[in-house]
Formats: sequence, C-alpha cells, structure tokens
Amino acid sequence: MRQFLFRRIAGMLVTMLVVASVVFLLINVVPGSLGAVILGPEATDEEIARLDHQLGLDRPVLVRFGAWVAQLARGDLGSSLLHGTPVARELANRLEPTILLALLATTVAVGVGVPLGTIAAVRHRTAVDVASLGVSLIGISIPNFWLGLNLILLFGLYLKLLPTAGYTNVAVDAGQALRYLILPAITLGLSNAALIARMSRANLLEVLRQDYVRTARSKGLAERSVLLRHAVRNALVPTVSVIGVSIALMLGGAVVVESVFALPGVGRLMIESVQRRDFPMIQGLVLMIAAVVAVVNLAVDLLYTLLNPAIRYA
Amino acid sequence: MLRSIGTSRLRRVLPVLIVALMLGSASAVNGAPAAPATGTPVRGGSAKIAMKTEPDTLDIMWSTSDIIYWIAVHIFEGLMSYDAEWKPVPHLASAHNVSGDGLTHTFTLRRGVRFHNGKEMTSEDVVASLKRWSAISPIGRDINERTNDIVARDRYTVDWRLKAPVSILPYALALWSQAPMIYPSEVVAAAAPRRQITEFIGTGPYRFAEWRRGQQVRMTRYNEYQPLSSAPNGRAGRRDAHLDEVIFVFVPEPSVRQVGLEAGDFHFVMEADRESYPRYRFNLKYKSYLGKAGTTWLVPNHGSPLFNRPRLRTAFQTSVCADAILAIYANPRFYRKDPSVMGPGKWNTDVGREFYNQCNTDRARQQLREGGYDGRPMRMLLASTDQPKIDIATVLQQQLGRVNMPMEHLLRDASGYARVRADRQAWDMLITESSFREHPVLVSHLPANGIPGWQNPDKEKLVDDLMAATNPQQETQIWRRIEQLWHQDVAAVKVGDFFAYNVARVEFEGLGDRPFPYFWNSWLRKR
Amino acid sequence: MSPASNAIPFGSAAMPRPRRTLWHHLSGHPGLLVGSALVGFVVLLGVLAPVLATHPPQQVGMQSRFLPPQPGHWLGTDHLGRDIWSRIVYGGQLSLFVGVFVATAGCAAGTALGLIGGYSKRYGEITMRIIDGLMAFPGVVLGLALIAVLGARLSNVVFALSVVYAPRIARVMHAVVLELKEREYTTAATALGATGTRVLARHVLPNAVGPLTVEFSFSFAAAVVSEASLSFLGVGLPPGTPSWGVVLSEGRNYMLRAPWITLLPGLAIFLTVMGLNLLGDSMRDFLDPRLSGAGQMRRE
Repeated sequence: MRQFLFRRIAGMLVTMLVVASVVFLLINVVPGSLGAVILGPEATDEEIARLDHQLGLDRPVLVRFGAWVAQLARGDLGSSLLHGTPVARELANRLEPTILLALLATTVAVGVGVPLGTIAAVRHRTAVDVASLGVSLIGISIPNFWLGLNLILLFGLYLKLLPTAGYTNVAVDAGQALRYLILPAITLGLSNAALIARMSRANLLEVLRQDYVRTARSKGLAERSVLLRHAVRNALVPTVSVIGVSIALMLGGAVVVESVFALPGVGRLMIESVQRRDFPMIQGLVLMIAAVVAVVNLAVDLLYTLLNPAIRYA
Repeated sequence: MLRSIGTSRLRRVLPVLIVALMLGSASAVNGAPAAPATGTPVRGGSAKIAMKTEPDTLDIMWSTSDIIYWIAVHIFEGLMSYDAEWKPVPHLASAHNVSGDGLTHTFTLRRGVRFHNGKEMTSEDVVASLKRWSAISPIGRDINERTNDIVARDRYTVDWRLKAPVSILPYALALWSQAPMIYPSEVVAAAAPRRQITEFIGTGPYRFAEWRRGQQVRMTRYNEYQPLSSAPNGRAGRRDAHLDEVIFVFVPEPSVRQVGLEAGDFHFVMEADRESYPRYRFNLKYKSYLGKAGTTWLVPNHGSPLFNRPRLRTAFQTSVCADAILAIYANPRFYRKDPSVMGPGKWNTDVGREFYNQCNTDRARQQLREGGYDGRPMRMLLASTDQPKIDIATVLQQQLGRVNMPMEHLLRDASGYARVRADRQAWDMLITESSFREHPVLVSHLPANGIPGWQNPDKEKLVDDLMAATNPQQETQIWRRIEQLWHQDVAAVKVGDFFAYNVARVEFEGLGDRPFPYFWNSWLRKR
Repeated sequence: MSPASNAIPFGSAAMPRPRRTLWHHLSGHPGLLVGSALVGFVVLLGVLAPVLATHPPQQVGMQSRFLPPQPGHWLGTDHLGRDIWSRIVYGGQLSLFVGVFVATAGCAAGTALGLIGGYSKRYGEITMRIIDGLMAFPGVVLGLALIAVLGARLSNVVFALSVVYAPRIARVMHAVVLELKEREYTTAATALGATGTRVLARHVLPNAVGPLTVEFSFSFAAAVVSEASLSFLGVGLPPGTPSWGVVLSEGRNYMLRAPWITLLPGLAIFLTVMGLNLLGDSMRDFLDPRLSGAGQMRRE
C-alpha cells in the first residue's frame, strides 16, 4: 500500500511537470504581446516593446521556463504580469465560488443521479427504466451553456425566483451566495447526474444478480430490506469512482458555466488569463487544476480500495 | 520650438482629447433631454451597475481604456473639470491663471480637501501626480516636452512652467480618459515608474471599498467629501454622493446583464444591446440613455501590398455602402450619417460629401481594373472578442463580394492583434471605433506614422500651417484642404457616428444630462 | 471531453456487467435504430444542404434583420438578416465535418498511442504519463488555450479538438490492448513464436475495432459539443461561419430580442449529440452486451 501510494504520488509529480511544460511552451511559442494588452489599443509599438522588455517577455522561452521552474522549486508561483499580485493569492481569492459550485453541483448530481439509477434498476425492464435512461441521455447530450442561458431566462426573467448572475461571498451573506449558486449548480450538476444515474443503474443491476442477493432473497427477507441493506450499498462502491471523476470534470464545465453566470471563480479566471496571456497566472491555474484532478483520482482509488477489499494494488 | 518638436509628435501621440465635445450633451434617448432632476434627491441605497468588461486596474492615469474611468472617476478628481459647454473650469483647483506670455499656468488649490486616507491634499501631491502623468500618458509626455518644470510654489499653489505656450493644457487637465487626477504623493512614490498604482486613494465623492476580482468593484460614500458650492454644470460644480454605495458588477453575457436589470438585480446596464431599445422604450419601468459616442472608420493600411496603390484604395472607398453597415447600430437614434472627418461643430465640413457612402459597384469595379487589381484577398485584421467590428466586417465582405474582392479574416486575441498590427505587411485593413476629437490634429488617422500610415507631403505642410494658424477663418480653410486630401488619398473611410446604449431602472434618478455615465448627483427613489 | 469514460479501464474487473436486458432481446436495438435515425437525419441534412437551404448561408440582408419565423424565412433571420434555417442546414455540414475529422484523427492517434503503450512496457509508461498530463486538465481549457494561441480557424479548431480527444481515446485503447494481450488466443500466438508486431496486427488490432467504433461515436458527439462551447467562449470557428456553435454564440446577444436565433441551433446540437450518444451506447451493447447501460459516455 505504501509503495502504491509512493508510486502514485511520484507519477502525479511527473504528470504535473509534463502539464506545466506543455502549457508553458504552448503559450509562449506563439507570438503575442502582453505589453499590448496592458497598455491598451492606443499604445505605440515602441511603448509596447518597452513594457514587454521590462516584464522580461523578450527573453528566450527556455530562459523564462528555467526561471519559472526555479521559482516553483522554491514554492513560489510568481506574480501576475497583469496585476503584479502574487498568483497564489489571486488563485485563493477565486477558489470559493468554484469549490462551492463543484460541491453543490456534485450534490445535485448525486441527489438526482443515484435515485434515478436505483429506481431504473429496481424497475428494470419497465417503462420507468426506459424513461430514466432517456432522461439521463438528455442530460448528457444537452450543451450546458445553452441549458444555463435558458435557465436564466426561465428562473431569472419569467419566474423571477432566483438572481440571474453575479455572486456574493459566503462571509458577506451565505444565503445570498447559495441563491446565486443554485442555477449554476443545476446547470453543471444535471449532466453529471445523468452519468451517475447510468452508472448506478448498471451497478445495481450487476449486484442484484449476485449470489448473496439471491441468498438474501431466498431467506425470505423483505425486498425493501434486500435492496437497501445489501444491494444499494454494494452498488454504490463503483459509483464512488464516477462521483470522484465528475468532480474533476466539473472544473472543465466550470469554465463555461462561470462565464454564463458571471461567477468570479477559477474557471473565469482561466478564460481571462488565457485571453490576456498572463503567463504566470495560466501556469498557476493549470498546475492547480492538474493537482486537483490528480488528488481526486488518488483519493478515489484509495476510497475504492477501502470500500472494496477485493481490490489490492501491487 | 513648438513646431519643431511639436507637430509630428502631437499628431502622432495625442489620442483622445476632449471627447464628445461637439455632440453637445448626450441625453435621454426617449424624449427630450431630461431635466437633471426628476424628483427630490434621496439619501441612501446601493446602486448596482452592470458592466461587460472588468478593467485591469483603477489607475485612471494608466490607459485610455474607458472602462477604467467609468469606475475610477468616482474615486479620483482632477484640477479641472469640463462644464456643460465643454469648457475646462477649476475643480480641485480654486483658480487657474495663465501668465501674459502664456508660459506659466498657475493653479491655486482648494484648501481643506482631504484624501480618503484623511490626509489633506497639498501642492506636493499635485506635483507628484502631474509629473507621473507627464511621464506615462502620451498627451502628458507631449506636453512634458514643452515643459520646464512643475513646481510647488507654496502649500496651495502649483506652477506649470512651459518652454512654449500650450493652450490645450487646461483642456488636458480636465480629461477623464487617461486622466491627470490627483493621487497622494506617497501612492505615486510607491508605484514603480512604469507600473500601476495599487492603492486607490483619491479625493472624490466615493471612496474605494473593495475589488473582488472577476466579480465587482464596490465604493462607498466619502463622508468627509468637500463638494464645491457651485451648482452642478456638466461634470463641473457640486458633486453629491446621495447613494451609500455604488457597485460595479462585471457580467460578460450581454443578455444576462439585461435579464438582471429586468429582474431588479441591477439598476443600470452599460452598453446594453441596442436592439433591445424597443423593449425598454415604452416601458415605464426603464429609462434609456445614449452612452459613449464615437465614429466608425474603415482604415486601409497604406503600407500593405494591396492598399499601397492609391487607385485600389479609391476603388474600395467607392464600393462602401455606409447605409447597410450603419444598420448594425440598430436604430437611427444610435447612429448618424455624416461625411465629415470631424463631428458637428466648428470643424465639421461637407468636403467629403462626394466621397462618402458612394456604394457604386460599377465604378468600383472599373477603378479596380485601372488599379491593376490581381484578385488577392483583402486581409481584415480583427480582435476575436470584438463582435461589433466582426459584424461590420461581415457586411463589408458582402459588399466587396460585389466587386469581386474576397475578404480574409485575420482573427486574433488582443495580444496577437497588436502583434499583427505592428507588422505593416501582414494586414490590409482594420476597423476602428474612435472617440470624438476636439481638434483635427488629434485625429489618430491623420499622422504619417499613425495607423493607416497616410503619407502626403502636401498634407504634412498643411497640418503644420494649421498648428500655426491663429485666426478661425484661416483654420477652417486649411482644414477643408486637409480634409479634401484625406478623402482623395483615402486616409480612412468613414462609416458614420455612433452612440452606445445604456438602460436604467426608472427609480434610478438624476441621471439626466450626461454623455458618460457617472453616479454622483443621482439617487435611488424609494419604491 | 470528460475523462469519465476512462476512469475505469474498458472491460476491467471494476466494470459492472449487467445482463443483457430482455427488452433488448425482444425489440432488437431500439437505441441503435433511434440513434441511427437521428444521425442519419443530420447527415442527410448536411448532404442535401445546397438543396434544402432557401438562401446562401452567408447572405447578409440588412433590411431583413431579426425577422421572426415566417414564410420565406421559416426559422427567422439573425442580426445581419441571414436566414437561420439555411445557416443551420449548412452548419450541420460543418459540425459533421468537425466531428468526423476530430473523431478520425483522435482515433488514429489514440490507437497508435494505445498500441505503443500496450505493446512496449517502457515506452508505454512514458506515453501514459504524457497522456495523464494532457488529461489532467479539462478539455475545454486545453482547447481554449490551443486555439487562443493558434488563432480561430477551422483547421485549428479541428487540430485542437483532436489533441484534446486523442489522449482520452488512447487511454481506452491502452486498456483494451492490455486486456486483449491476456486473452488466450493472443498468449497462444505468442507462445507459438509470433512476434509482438504480428500479434498486435493479427490478433489485437482486429479485436479492438469494436471498442474503437464506440469511441469514435462518443468522440464525435463530444467534438460537436466542444466546437459549440469554444465558439460560445469566443475562440471557436471564425465569426460568420455558418456553424451551430457560431450561430448560437452570435445569437445569444439577442436572446431577449430574438430568442429563436439561439433556440434552434441549440436544439440541433442537442439532437445530434443525443443521436450519436445513443448510437455509441447501443453499438457497445451490440458488440459487448456485458456492458449494457454502463454509462460510459463522453461529454463536455
């Protein structure tokens, strides 16, 4: 187990180095000027060149990469070229809405997905089953930005039930923060709910077929008890891995959803930074996202091992 | 002296001076210009303003970007302000005097004006701020070249000593765009020479409270604010902070901004979709306002392999149908057809009438043949986030299709755009939406090393004459000749003048008569 | 774009194996039918675009802006007076092109990487690490960065999306190859002295075709959504291009003024993606009934 952990963490580090290098080269190889972005459209070519020089953007790509890696080795993510503030602080400032969004969306996904999948499996081969598969298919296929815009129109404009866009920090007004997050969480959560529904349906069907369920049934236990005490619990084990993965997935979805709902999260910071080529910020974001994905994967694997003793990692 | 350093630099550099001057004042779109007050001011409340784009900084000296000053003018103030006639009048100064030889401008400061950190504003702060502005702003640098020194004569008096008269100095000091506003000297000292300030401390009616990046900028009433006693007059005069808070919320999706307005989440939407005007026009819950004003130009690159041939530029000019393009601005209330390079007022001429909006396909084809056009595509440089210009390009593409000139989009993000623009061989045309200019020499397409790269010895000579001209009649005549050359050489093809569209909820009052939205002297009526 | 389908290696022990449902036995494969019908309809629309379109898709008409659905423009017009129906029909062509191209390129690259990974332990480890690296960040983000840098052009969008999907397909192919290598016929062939290459070409590859078809269909679906997402974020196909994503992206500014502009391209994307997902899902059932309904779709 310890060796497994060690190998996974080493692998994670290699992965992240690969990610960092790929992104760095990608963004730096192609011409573009941050000076131009900072100084605005009326700046002269000469002014732009001067600022680029001052920011060190005219140095060779490899030199800059080396400097950045050296900095990173000291645990320093550097400073935003655009704002001059430490990247780590900017990231920390943007984490709250994204984390809450991911948690809420996961809640929606699990809250909708698991019951939907369970009902489908229990009512296997009935219209309920087909309907649940249909619903989850719709959930998977609907583009989330389109869903988001339509939800805003429906709830914000026609029903006037929920605020349309924006955010309030939890420390300021937790209730309001929640209200701002409901529509984005539904938008982001529904597609994952569909995945989880399909997964838990399949798992439950598998479990219901197993010997111990048959045994339980043949012992004359109530169907309800068989389902809840034996089947559903066991069926949830593989579902956990899908939930873990969907959390990582949501970081991607957050880019689009945060943009639609004007949430000041990490996803929107990513778009802004890419559009303005704020290199240190993009690097920091990419590393953070990669780290989150890696840690979630690791946690899922570990949880999986704990829940299912049949699996042992060499 | 002035002519030797002055003219070319002035023409090259001076970007946006004194905007919207000739427009008169913009006004409420529906109906007559609203009376400034539709009710009695109410104290209190928190106004939420929805903006599309988040600025990179609130350092108002930093760049000409209008999204900076839309927010920052509430925090900072300058020595001078424009009144309703666009004349600069003292604001943080109590008096402005010019010596007989025009070489010394003396600004007497108001006493007892306190920064938001409690410190009293003195000549030390003014000198530090003006020197910083003279170093980083293009207009400032230009004036700086004709400056001996800016000195604090005493605690409340500042002398701006010039080498040669600069009559535009008080105008420049009243600017909002890349504005010479007054920061505490220690804030100026803390900023690296070519970097932005990080502490936003001014003297204005609102003080900076917090900036949640990606979300909002919040400012609160400055209770120790010392308003002028004179009545509000344009941007000048008394400023009252009726609102407790002004919050600028950044919402990238256009329709979401408006849904937010209708749902009551926002009180004011900057740059609403002009197409939605009919939606609000007759709705008593909202009030429409004209926003930022400017001119749309199609700018051929005089250095490119395609448009370095004058005949082909002319052919292009002949083919353009301004009517069809202007329809993009939705409604004649938001645009104006006008051939003149300059807006309404003293510099407006009809010289361009025969060149403007010709829309003559046959003649354009013939001119293309005469110019030896080889069918190569015209490369249109566009920023990928700039939807209005992309739409203009799309309409133009169709027009050019009629004269068999294909168009190729060079679509770049903001940083890539600047990089391509700097390479004069890499593109053939771009589109600009420039703000109105007060004086022809400030028009950015005029100078030989400006964006189209319009070179013509006759023009250079005339521009020098214009700078030296003293009597208005002479000035007008010279300008008419320059404008004639402008159209003949196709420095840039004018599409028309335009306005942005802002919408407010009706309970947001006192917004009446202002071309750029600002939120002092306005209040939220209690519902 | 999700790594979801790769969380659990294809056909591994962790994969749940529900029984093939009776319903499927009875009614054949309705998913396959409905899916093929939807996809076929879109393909038909794309192929017949020149016939079906009532206007050239790029034709600007400034006098007929924002027309609601009506005779002559039966899905209405957009902010430049372009006919929405014609744009959607031609947009189908483009979406199909993007989808097919990305899925093909992704599958080719993915298979090659997966084969290398499955074949050689040493290179496999390195390849998989790089693939993990590429997969460690969300597809939209990778696509966004690539296109922001390369410029918004059809070729770049297709390239970027291929880069996004290839590693995901490679992961699956890697697992498939590993599993197939352990099958009796493969080990038998190896025991009989067949070279590694020969084993791959003769035994592994042909058996991987099934899972590959499924991957193809899911990648296709994901590419269609991704193109739309990127266009929505302003880094997709060039504006003015009649693609579903661009029509939707341009129309969303006018959602209050003219909701029909966004409604229909959204529906078109939705139905196409649904058809493809259904098709992939049913194909998997068909090829490997053990995996029925396992929820392994790829989505944005």
